[in-house]
Amino acid sequence: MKKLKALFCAIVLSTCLVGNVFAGGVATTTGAGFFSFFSDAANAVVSFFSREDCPPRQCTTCRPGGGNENDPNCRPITN
Amino acid sequence: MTSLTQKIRFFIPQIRIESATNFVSLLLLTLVAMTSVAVSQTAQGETTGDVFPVPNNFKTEGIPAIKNSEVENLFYDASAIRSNLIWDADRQNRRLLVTDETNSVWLLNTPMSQPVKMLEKIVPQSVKMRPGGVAFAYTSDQENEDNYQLYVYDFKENAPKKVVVLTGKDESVDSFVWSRAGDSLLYVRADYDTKKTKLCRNDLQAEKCFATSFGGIWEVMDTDANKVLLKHWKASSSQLLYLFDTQNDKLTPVDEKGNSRKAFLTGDRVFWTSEGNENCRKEPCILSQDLKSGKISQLNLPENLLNLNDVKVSPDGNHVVIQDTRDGIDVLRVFRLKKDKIVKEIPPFISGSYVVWNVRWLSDTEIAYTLEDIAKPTSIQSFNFDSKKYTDWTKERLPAQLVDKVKSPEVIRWKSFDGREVSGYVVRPKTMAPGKKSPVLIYVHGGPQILDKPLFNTMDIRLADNLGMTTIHTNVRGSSGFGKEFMDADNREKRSDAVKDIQALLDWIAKQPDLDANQIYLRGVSYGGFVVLSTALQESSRIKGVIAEYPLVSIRGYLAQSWIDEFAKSEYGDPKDEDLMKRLDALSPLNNTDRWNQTPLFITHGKLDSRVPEKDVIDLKNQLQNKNSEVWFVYSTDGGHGFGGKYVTAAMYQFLKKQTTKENKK
Repeated sequence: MKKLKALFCAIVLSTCLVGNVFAGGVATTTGAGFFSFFSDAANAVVSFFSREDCPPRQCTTCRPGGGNENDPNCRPITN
Repeated sequence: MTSLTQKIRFFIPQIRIESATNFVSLLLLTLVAMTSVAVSQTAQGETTGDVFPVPNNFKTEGIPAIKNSEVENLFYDASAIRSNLIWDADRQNRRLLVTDETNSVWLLNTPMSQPVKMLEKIVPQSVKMRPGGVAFAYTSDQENEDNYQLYVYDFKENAPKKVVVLTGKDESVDSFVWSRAGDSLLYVRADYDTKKTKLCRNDLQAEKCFATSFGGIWEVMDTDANKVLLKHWKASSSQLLYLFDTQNDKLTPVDEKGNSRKAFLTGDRVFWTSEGNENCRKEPCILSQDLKSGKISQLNLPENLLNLNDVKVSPDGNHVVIQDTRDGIDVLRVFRLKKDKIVKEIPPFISGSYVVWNVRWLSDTEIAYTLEDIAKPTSIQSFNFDSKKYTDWTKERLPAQLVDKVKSPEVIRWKSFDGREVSGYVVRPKTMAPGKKSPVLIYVHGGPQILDKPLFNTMDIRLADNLGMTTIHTNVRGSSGFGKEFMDADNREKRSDAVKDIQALLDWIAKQPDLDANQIYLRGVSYGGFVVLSTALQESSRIKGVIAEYPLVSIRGYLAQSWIDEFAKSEYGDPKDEDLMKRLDALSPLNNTDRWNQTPLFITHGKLDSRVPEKDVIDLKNQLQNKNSEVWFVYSTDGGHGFGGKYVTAAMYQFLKKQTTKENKK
């Protein structure tokens, strides 16, 4: 019984001590790598819809920081 | 040993180490436990590290955790891609203002040189070099969505300076031009609250607004001496042209009947493109008017010219460059002018099929332009037709995972319910397993007065490469580039006809041997979101999933906003017309969720979206959730109309992956 208690406590203790160390280490390393790889810089072309037939408030849909990722028609307006 | 025992006893006082044997057993057990926990924690760590993080500024609902390992091949290092477009040219110093893939504005002093960063993380609405090349002006709504501020960036000071202080409740500098001498800016201050527009001049010290105020939305097109060329945006197919005299505040019509998209002043003449007036009738044409005599003449154009997408006269007035667009592919044609007549064409100088952006004259004989196609990011080139010399200003670069993944786009045409021909283009995966049909994503652009061109499109390539998916880009009725009648063909009560164009496309897909009619998905942005949601309502059995990014979900709700003006009403209808509103309600997904047949939906909305009422989107989302429909919802707490980013891309990809996997298992 005592051995069982000891085992149980040892597992709890090792989980508390070791678990945190590993979790923290892994998360930190991977996290830093992740964010440095996927930097804030967008990956594709930029800017605005070509709008020749409607004013800005009607047809401008692309925004900084993402429009180009999703919007295939994001380009600077021609003027 | 004692020390370790003491430590263990310190943490677990109830354990008494009674013998060396017991201690060894305990130590072994501890090691086993540590190892097992370590293994378990490594797995958990990978799980933690493997989760593609939801950005802090996003709130999501119904989106399962995305594994980084499943989406990381969608992305690539920012340095792996290079893509540049012209903003404007400094003719005096033969240099260019350009933008790139990181939302910055750069100064490119010489071809292929290292550009100098001017602005970072600012996407201007418009950028114009000051004549003489000592500064540039730009508008940006960085501070307040859709309320554009005017800035001047002086190259000596290396910093932007705001030149206009907006005081109205909902004011915006929507357009501006430099005076010919470069000593002042002419711009319009549009007040969307009062529905009035003022024309103002600013000598970079002080502003002076002219007494005349204009109703609706106006754009300043050009200026020369005391003349200012203005466009009134009455409707997308009714862009009216006026000349304003700054000496006497007099506004004179130039063309109130045709649709005048482009216009400029040269000496004592005004030139403009028009369609639908007594001179041009249905064909696009170029007109010019002698400002002294008032006499209008029409420029003789070659018969095989299809579309006047852009027209620019050389600085010396001896040549004109015309951008003709056919099925989304641009052709640049340069003509010699003599007494306002086209007398000779310069031989074609761009080989291949490209989309061309922002053509600029660098000298009397050299033009600069931006080129791209489905497999090639944008790059900048110039051509001197005197010396026949090409100059590369920038060279594109793209990551290996995007190379050679899709076939050349195929232009397609299909007949809609009323016999009208509608077109689009198909982007297919480069390779398909023999006998296997490709799932299809139909893309509907926003606007709707926009032309979807076959651009370098990372999302198309990603979907083709990773899901074997074909994307069909559509230019349904209401799109620009097919004449004003086509652009008006979806107005007001005809809104449902645009939806029927997509329904007819479903029939076309069913006849294609390589496309899987049982796996059709829809994706629409902004107004395109309305079309795809409405189509899904009508076609619940044929549509297997819908992506609606920052969509318009109710036209009634859209028209109820305070800034809505004459232009929007001409497109969507008068909100006081209750009969029309009821007909439009019948199309709106918001009013018809009882007819939504559990089609999985991916939907986004940004808190700062000033176009689409938030309550409508949330209401739709809630209604569908209450019906236990599958809804993937992304809400950005600091994004506006058009927000996106890597998380949205990853989630959208996972959404499509899940739906295609589900369908494949059936």
